Amino acid sequence: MRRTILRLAVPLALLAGCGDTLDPVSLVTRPRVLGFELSVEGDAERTTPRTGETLNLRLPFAFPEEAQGIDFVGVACLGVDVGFGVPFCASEDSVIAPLVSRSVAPAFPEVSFTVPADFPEDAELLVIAAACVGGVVDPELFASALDISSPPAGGLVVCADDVGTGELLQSTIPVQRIPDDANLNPLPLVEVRLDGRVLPPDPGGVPGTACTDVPELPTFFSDSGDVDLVVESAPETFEDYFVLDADDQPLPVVEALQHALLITAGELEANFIFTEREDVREDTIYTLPLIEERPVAAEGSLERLWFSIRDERGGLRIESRAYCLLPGV
Amino acid sequence: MHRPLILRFALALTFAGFVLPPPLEAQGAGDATGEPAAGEDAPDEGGSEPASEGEAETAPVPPSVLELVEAPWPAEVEPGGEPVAVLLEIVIGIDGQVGEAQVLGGPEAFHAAALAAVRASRFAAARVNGEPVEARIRFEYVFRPPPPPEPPPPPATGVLEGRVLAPEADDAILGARVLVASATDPALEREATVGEDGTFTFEDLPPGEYLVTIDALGYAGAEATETVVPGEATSVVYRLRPDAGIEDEGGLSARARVDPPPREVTRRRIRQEELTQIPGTRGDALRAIEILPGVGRPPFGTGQIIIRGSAPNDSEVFIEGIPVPLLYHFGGLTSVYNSRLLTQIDFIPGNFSSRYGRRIGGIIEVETRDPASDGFHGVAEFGVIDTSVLAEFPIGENASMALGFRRSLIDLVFSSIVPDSIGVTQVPVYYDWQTVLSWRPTSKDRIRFQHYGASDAFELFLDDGLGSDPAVSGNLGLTTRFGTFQMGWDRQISDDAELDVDAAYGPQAIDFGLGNALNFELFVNQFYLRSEVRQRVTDWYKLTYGADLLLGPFRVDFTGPPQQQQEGAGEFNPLASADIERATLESLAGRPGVYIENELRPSDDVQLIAGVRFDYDNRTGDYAIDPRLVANWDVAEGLRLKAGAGLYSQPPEFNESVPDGGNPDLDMIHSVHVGGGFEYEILDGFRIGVDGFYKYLWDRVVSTEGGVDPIFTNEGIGRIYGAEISGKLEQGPGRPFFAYLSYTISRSERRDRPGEPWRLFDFDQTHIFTLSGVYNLPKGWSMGATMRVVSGNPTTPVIGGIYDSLNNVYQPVNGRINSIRNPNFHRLDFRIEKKWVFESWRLALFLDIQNIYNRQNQEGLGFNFDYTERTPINGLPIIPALGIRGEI
Repeated sequence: MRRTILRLAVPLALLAGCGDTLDPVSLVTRPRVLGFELSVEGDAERTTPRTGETLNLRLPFAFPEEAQGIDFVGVACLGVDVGFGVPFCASEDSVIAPLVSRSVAPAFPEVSFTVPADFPEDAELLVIAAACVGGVVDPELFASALDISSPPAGGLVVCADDVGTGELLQSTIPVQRIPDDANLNPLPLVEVRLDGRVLPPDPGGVPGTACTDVPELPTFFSDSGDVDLVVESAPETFEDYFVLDADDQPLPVVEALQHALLITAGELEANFIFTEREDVREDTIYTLPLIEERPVAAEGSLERLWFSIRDERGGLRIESRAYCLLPGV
Repeated sequence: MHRPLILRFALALTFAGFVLPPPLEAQGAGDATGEPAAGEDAPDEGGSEPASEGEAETAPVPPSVLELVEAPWPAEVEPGGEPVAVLLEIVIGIDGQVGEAQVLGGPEAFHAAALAAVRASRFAAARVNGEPVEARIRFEYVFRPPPPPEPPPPPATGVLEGRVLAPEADDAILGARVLVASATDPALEREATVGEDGTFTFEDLPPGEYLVTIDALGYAGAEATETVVPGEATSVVYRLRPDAGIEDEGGLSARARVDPPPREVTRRRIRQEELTQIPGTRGDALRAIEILPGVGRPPFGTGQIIIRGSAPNDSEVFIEGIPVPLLYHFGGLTSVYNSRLLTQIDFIPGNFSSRYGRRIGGIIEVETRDPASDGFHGVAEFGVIDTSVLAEFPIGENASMALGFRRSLIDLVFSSIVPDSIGVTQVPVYYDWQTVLSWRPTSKDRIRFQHYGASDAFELFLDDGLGSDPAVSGNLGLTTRFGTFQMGWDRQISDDAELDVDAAYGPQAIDFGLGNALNFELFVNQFYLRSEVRQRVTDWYKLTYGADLLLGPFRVDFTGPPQQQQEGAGEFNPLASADIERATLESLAGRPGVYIENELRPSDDVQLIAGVRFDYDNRTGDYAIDPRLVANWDVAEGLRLKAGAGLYSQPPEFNESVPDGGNPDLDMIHSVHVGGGFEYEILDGFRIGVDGFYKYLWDRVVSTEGGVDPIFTNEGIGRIYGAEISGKLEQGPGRPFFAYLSYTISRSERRDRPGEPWRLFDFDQTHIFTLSGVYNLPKGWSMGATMRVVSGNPTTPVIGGIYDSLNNVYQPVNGRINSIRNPNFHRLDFRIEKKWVFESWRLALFLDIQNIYNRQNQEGLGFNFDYTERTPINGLPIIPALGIRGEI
């Protein structure tokens, strides 16, 4: 236990300012993966495939500027139920399907595979993958990434020739064992307000480009300080489900949603917002960008906010909003 | 000095034309002085000798020796085993005097002495026809080597020496009178007056007990009983309290006798006089162990004890024979026991006695003192970090009591130093207390009751969504509490046997939580019993045997990620990516142990200690039998060789052997210790020591890969080896300073699973160098510094991050475990103190500065959300601690 407490000393020391400031998690300065969106073939909102069903995976990204092509290589396999560390496939024979999506044009990777009919009752369904934005996944990578007992000394290089922005990814896919154990993706957000003004659905466009000609975008000014950012979830999005308690008895619980926030400019007080059925509206503080940090022309700058909404059971909905940033007065 | 004894001398007469007479060997053979041998008549003084009756008138009579003068053995010649002869030719006149003389042969160094001696000798002249005649003869002068000097008689006396000092300041009390009176011989009294350096010495005291009385103007008198041992020096320090008009019969705060031979290969001791003066410890005695060889440096000043490359949980701290559940408060800045109640700390880094069990690392034994029995005394100290009070007073004739309390003051400033994003729900507060009651109902019994404990608590509120781990939110809190009621009974069973019984009981509680994702609550009602008998069977054989028992019902409530090996784990996963588990366990831990130790002295110089210990652990059902052997050999005055080897065993941690989340089928962890070295007193008060050690560990508890069932196994092994050099310069007469020097070079490695490569231990520190010294200046000033240079701790490179899509967090991908190191650590601590002594009280002002040049020592690495950036995390900055202390 003492060692556990000691382990926390490092992150706490970082929080307390004992180290240099690092790249903030919420600010999108390079392509950022948003997570696997899951949908069962024929039942698009369901994330939990049954054996024999086909699962579609889509991997959206957030871009700070123009979108780029993404090279995606991965496998679906029977994973080992690890207690800690990076999960890994049980063996080479445990691979269910290779997952490949290669696109030079800007498009999010989409792959699919079928859960074997004889998938073991208590096994883990695991996806391990690599994605390279603006480049090609290094073909040598995958073997070493799976072999965690002898990691490469020089670090993991995802993109071939180190060209592009690489991401290693993994996800355990909950498999539906019983009929009423299905999980659905979260519903769209009811509303997002910034400083009391509703942010409409994202009209698209490239962040940082002129926006005064997009009339539906609300405008904000640089150097305007802190404003409230409020998100509201639909009450019906919170599903009921069961977990097993310490005595292996089913315990009814209600979903809580995690909203991970990414922004192209400015600063967030919290990187995550959590909503519950009883408390569907939550807020945090958004600090509008400073002019010296985000130079803005008179035509304005389109700024985007991404909301990755998770139910932590495999469900994910990505939503984005945008506003037009004008130079401060 | 050289006594020239002549074994034999011969005259080879060479009268011209005469026949050679028989040698005159008999004439001097029996008497070194040249007196005639018994049965012979001395010749006349006149040098003539009448002819024997019947002797023919014409028969020549050779000259004979009347008085042979002793010649000294030449000083420049080493006496050998054989006599040395010088052949002379001499002319003996008719008056019997030696005229001409010359050397014919023999070692040149002896020539002059032989000539001088023979010229000063007297002879009876040769006679022819009854008339004295001049004769030229050859004379062999024989030098016999002087006998070897008589060996000095064995010392039948001892020495009592020491110093008389003012309290605390180490200022000599000039003019203090010291009177020693034998307890058995009323006529034996000695008196001395201490000099400017406060020292006194009584030499050649017959062995026995002495009543020592000290008087000094302006100070309360003091008495003490000391024992003088033949051939040994008993060193004492008396500190007199200012005369407050109270009859003061005590007044001494520390006493040091010549150390008995240790029971371990290496036992290092810091005495009370030095414990509270080590710079960088703020006067905390238990932190003084950091300066000793073999003691590693814990990161962030967490106060963990790292001994000879062993994990912190592998070592144990005892207070009067009872394990202490917690040694330091938050951050390791302060220990949980008031230093002013301690007399000494013994540090045994390995090869410890069979008395200690259930640990495979090292041992720290803390000895406490009896409260003052000469009236009320009190100490109050107020510092930047904490404040404390201590009161001592007698209760009746044979008992005395001490009460101590300390509370932290960090809470006064803590809120202003944490970032706004971290709310402070419960500011860090710690306190500790001590109650000591000592009672001597008879001259053979001492009973000690203690109740001591500590409480630490803090709680922070972390805003939801702070940082990159969504699970790190809510309250972060840590509370540790323990209270121990301890009783000790020491009884002198007979002149040759002693009995010690110690028992302790008390609750311990740890509560650590981080939001809903991590919570650990442990509650133990621990009972500990130890009983030991020490018996001197003969002069050369001493037997020690005993038993101890650790018994404790405990309850653990745990919420958090699955357990895993904590040491050698690399960068941990974020909490968000873990499957949070919940477990509750109630059980009883029972760990009995018995031991026996035989101390043999085949000669005065050699000590052999052979012991064996049996331990049982009810949680795992495993037991261990650990034989241990130690040998010490006093090769020469001040030089001791030592060596030892033994087996050591330790049960797995409770959380590792629980059925839910652990593995109840684990076995005990084992280790073999092999050590050896020497100690040498180069000069009076200056000792050096060199120790080498090797430890091999097996059945270490390690995680399975990925933590799959059975979660923990005993597949781990380890090896630790190194050497330690220590130097200690003691404060003494004419030397108002002391210093410690220690250097350790070592390597501590682990292998977690068969077939894996060896890796470095988390706290492997190749080089540990510490130099600490304190100089006591006149007028109550003292000043000191401690310098520490240590290799950086190993750390694991993170070679990338893998995005966990389900939980929206990146997991670190560890490189080779502990394959890189933090930069070297170095730090200078400084302490200055000024003391004033008033009529009835004393005052001290001190400044203790830790890390005086504010070195940014790297303790670890922090990473950004996806492990593509990193930044060094530095340890404690400069910490100046100003304090003031008053004593009555």
